[in-house]
Amino acid sequence: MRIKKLLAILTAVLMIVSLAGCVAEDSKTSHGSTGTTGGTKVTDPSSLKGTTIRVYTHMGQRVLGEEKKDEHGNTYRDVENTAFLKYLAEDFTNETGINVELIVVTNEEELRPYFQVKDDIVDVYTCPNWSLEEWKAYAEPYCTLEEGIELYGEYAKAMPNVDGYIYSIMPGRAYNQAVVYNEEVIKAAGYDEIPATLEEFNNMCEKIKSMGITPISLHRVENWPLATVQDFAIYVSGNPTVFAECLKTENPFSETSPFGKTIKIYTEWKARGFFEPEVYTDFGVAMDSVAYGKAAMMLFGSWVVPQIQGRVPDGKDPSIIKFAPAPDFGAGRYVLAAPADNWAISKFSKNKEAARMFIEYIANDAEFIANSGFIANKKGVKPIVPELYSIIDEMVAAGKCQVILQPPNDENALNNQRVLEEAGLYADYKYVGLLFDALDVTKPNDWTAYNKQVEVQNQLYARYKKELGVEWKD
Amino acid sequence: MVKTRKTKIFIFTFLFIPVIHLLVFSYIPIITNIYLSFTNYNGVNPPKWVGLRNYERLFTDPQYIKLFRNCLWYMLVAVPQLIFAFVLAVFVNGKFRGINFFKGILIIPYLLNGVIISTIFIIFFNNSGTLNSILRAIGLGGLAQQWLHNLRLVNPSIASISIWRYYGLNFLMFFGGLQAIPAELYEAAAIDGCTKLQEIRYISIPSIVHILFINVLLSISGSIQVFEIPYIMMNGANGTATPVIQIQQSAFAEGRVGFAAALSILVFIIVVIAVSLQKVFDKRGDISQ
Repeated sequence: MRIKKLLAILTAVLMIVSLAGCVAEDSKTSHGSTGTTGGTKVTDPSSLKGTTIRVYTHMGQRVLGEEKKDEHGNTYRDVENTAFLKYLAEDFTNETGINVELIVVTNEEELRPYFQVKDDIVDVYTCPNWSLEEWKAYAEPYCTLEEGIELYGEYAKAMPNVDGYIYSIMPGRAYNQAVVYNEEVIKAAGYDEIPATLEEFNNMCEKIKSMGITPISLHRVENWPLATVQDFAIYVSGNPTVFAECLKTENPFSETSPFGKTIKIYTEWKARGFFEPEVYTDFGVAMDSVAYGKAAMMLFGSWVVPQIQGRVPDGKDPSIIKFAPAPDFGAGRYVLAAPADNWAISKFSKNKEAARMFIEYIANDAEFIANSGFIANKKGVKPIVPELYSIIDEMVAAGKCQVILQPPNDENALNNQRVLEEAGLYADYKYVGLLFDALDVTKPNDWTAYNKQVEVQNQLYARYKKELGVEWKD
Repeated sequence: MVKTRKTKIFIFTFLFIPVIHLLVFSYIPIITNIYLSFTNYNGVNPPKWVGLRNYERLFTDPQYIKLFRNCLWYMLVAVPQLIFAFVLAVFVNGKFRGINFFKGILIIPYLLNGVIISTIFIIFFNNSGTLNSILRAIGLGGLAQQWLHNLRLVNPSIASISIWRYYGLNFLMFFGGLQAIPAELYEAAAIDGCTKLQEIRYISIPSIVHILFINVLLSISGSIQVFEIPYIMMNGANGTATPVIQIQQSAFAEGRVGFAAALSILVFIIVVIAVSLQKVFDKRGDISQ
């Protein structure tokens, strides 16, 4: 009986102790230096041998290999030819003795809980769509803005930077949000290249649609594809700061505003049936449809080209997947150049030096960056220019299109973002998504709900702009 | 029995753990959540008191009112769901060979994972999927629709999945209630010349009315907490967002933790009301029995 009582009390004590472990402590915060020097600098690389760093990335295809279909139609992962990050990590380990554990996440939302509890499980991560506040809260400052500009030129200004520090380094550059297309499909429609004007582009889409092929593949089940609209607004207006300039107007979502006009163009494409009937599909399905010629194009950046090329069925030349600037919407023909591929060190990592070494290794690997669909942009690294970029460069040289550099996030851009956040419209690109969804594709001529949603969003924008007391600053 | 000091210590020791667990994982988070619902906490900066602003937004912004309108569809489909389950229970009430196997088959949809169900019904409601194919095959091609793209049909379509998913569970509850009715009542009714319909109306239904109410209240609390099916199928897009989807998006995608807390408090209140009513009817059912 006594033994039973003792066992019972011991069990109770053990449970109390295990509960105590649930209490959050700041002892988990990292020990890296985050002082004014702007991040941890590598001291003695050899001292880091045997360290293991955890790299969290949403780029599953670069770790697990591109999804492809074999001759029987079964899906498999082409690890041998496309798992570039896996091989880079192995090379890094061989050269430095630092072990790399690659973990694929579906999207960056999966990482947020780790950072909110200051978990040190994440060392390096890729994360394309965070707010500047989150970068500052969860990432280690990588370098100062001046250092970034020295190494990456003007592109450094477009990297996530707050208070003079860059929080996520983007070692590549790319052309964003243009037209990635299947050349065979548009040739079958009678076009050798993507038309230069919007009217001709729409005519081409109608022709493709009449062939029973989806003109534009948009996987709407996730919201990040709607980010295209933000960049397309630059093309529609010819103004790189058009998004931030929503602050100048009380009706940013009306057709009279370039931003509202762009969303309307997108929604008109939906009304005209240019998107796939099953628009609520996922990214993989959308890429497959272009690779297999079931859809003609996607409106994305050059980074998606290698991924779609990797899915082209056996027997077909992957180079049928090409990249072209968006048509002229009336303000000229443009392509947006931007830094690419976010890599950051977690603020709570206990292996910041090793993490930095890994990111620097990536930044110096022009081949990896080219395989990812970008051009290495770091000073001193000889870039490998994929063919799709040289086509754009030729068009620019011939005066057929102009390059606009993605603008930095200045005070106006941040204030515009704050207003949209307060209005509950910023995250998940709801300012586009709610309007896009308001048009019933089964009633393409009925714009009542769309117009009502425009009104609602304009009212919300005006209300929170006034509440926050922000205005456009020249 | 006089409790000795040792016994009291013993009791206290064992009660201490569950009470601490309840406080740490239930009551304190709820109280913290209530506090956060009155702030503009974004998960990064310290929370700042904003009063009733989050609640005002919930009750005035059409975007959020629509969330609760979407829940109405899930409540509405509970009606045919319960009717169907009840009719099935009445028909199979009794003992016959294979009844347990039959019951097992009926409960399978309820046991399936939500991801599997969503995948099945994405294909089912696809424009060229199962439903439209069947309609065309039987000469009713005119009824084929874009079930997930038509703004008027998308919510009823997704809500109707609940009928298939939960009717088995409802059936089991009704069946259990019907099995508890004494056979003598039916015998007496038969002797008095009651028809089958009269037996159902005057014996079966009154005997299980409290189970019916419990199922109705479960449907209400369940419909307000719908998440996985519309989230996996549509990610809340095309007007299919529900309160719980919005809570998830507000807290983790939009960084509006305070607002998400306010919405979760509202959902909590509705569920508490439904569960409280359920307990009241449950008690009344016990008393009447």
